[in-house]
Amino acid sequence: MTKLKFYLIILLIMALIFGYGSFFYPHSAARPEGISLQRPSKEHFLGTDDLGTDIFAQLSKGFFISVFIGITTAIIAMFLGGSIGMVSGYVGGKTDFLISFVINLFLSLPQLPVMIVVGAFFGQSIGNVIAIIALFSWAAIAKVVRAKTLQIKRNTYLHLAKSYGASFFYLFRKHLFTEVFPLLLINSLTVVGRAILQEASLAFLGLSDPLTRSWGLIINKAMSFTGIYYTDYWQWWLLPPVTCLVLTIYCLRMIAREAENLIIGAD
Amino acid sequence: MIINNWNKTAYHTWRKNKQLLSRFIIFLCSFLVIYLFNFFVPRLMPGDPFAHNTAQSGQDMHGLSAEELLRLKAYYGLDKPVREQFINTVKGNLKLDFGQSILYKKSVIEVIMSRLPWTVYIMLSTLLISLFMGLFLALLGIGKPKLDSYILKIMSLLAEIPAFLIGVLLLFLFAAKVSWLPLAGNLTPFYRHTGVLEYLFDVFRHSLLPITALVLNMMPNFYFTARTSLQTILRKEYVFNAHAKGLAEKIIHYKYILLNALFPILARFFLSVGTCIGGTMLIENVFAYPGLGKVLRDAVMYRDYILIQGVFLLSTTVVLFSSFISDVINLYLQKDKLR
Repeated sequence: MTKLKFYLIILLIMALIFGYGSFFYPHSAARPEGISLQRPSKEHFLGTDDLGTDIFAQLSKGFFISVFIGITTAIIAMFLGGSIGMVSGYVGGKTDFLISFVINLFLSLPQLPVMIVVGAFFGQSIGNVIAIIALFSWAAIAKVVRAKTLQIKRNTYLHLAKSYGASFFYLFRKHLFTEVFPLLLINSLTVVGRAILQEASLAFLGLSDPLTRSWGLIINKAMSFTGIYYTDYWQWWLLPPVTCLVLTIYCLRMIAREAENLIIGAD
Repeated sequence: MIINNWNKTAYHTWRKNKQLLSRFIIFLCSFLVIYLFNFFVPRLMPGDPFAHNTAQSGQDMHGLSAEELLRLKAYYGLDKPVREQFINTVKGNLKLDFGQSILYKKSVIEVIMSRLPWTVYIMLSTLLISLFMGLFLALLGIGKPKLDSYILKIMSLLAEIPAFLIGVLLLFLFAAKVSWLPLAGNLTPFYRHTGVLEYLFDVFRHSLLPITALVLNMMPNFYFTARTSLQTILRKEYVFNAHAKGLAEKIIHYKYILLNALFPILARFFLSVGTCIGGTMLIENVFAYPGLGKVLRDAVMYRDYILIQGVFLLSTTVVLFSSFISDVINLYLQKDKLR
């Protein structure tokens, strides 16, 4: 529990710092304001990039973009994975066989090449990126949910409720959903971190939305500035987004793991 | 009794074969889905490459006339019905003809073949080094709970840091400072190597950082698998028996424990190809290493759809096949457990 709080507090601190950066900080994340390639100063906390845009403002906005992408993807994947997994586990038979096959198919596909190809053909917008990542995240959730539903289905109290004439929706509301939900939530929590990472990977390759300044895109822009290898600009241009990305992903992963332990302990 | 035993074995063989067949069917279906996806996505997507003006800035721009359009469509076989196009594509692909790359002005298979060895080199060395390092670290922890918990903590930390970010950090922390570590590429450009040894050293020098970044990310997976399978085996009776017999510690470690732990690790090896291919593609772009990942990215950047399809088909097929092998290995393991 204390560990869980620790990681949550780290995330909260990041949110506060970047909240200041995107709402009260006097510089814009999109417009060049000032001379290009300035060192960190009181005026610009992390200096400016080659176009003169403030890096700290970009970093702050990038946090909310990343978190937005992560959470939206997770919610879509949660709905898709949860409903498909529950239907598959509950209905059984041929439907289950077919759905399981699709789940296994999605799990065995290499994600990055498919994401690159879909992104290349359907255009690079933030909506597409979210849709693609969600399309690849539901399968893992569905697999877990399906297994749990199968396990619940074997319980005698479910048979009893059914023999009393309980409808599917009643069973779903009273038994299935309440038992599956914690598992669903934790698995969706892992999706948040993974989605942030995948968006960053795509953005790093320059294949995400070029108008949305996520952390991956800042890294991409910094790396494509040739002077970065010979000067020490990387210390405030490249290092902060990389560190923030690693820290966020790590915190989210640890929160998911701690929450999982919590639930296993409760069982 | 003998008949009974035979029946049991026959049942297991039958069951194993049935599961093997179902895995194989899943593999074939997955391949089919990927193949159809690869064929239909460019045909379903909005837009038309012929409508796209390919003139570069500074050149006189003019659209294609109706005749030119028809000629081009006939040239690429796009005037035929979709079914015929599909059959032609399959026929071509069976002859290893994946079309012409627009970017490199060469056939796709030529481009892939010239870059594939570098990707295979990076991936194979990453997986092998990760396997041995992971196994070694897991063996190191046997019987030393304190050391084991330290290694476990470090590995769980490492597992969460994506390879391409490690790559970026390594690039700026080491490559920019250490003079003999190059920033990018696979070989020193325009340099004539005097001997095989010097050539090999050049290859090694250039691949050191990409491989290190990938290994740091892949190694934990192998470590976790090795650790769990070692711990299950350590609790087995035959290990206890070996200790009781008074066998030397070394023999027990290598002959009894290691050999039995090898199969799950091998399964993990083939399963890791899928995760490794994504990591390799990213890391190749960090270090500008001329492998398939770099080709794929360049192809996307220059809208070279034919090349994208070729690389995509190849990489997904490799991953599907290796995860099929991993499934088969796991199946044999399960059979052993059933007995």
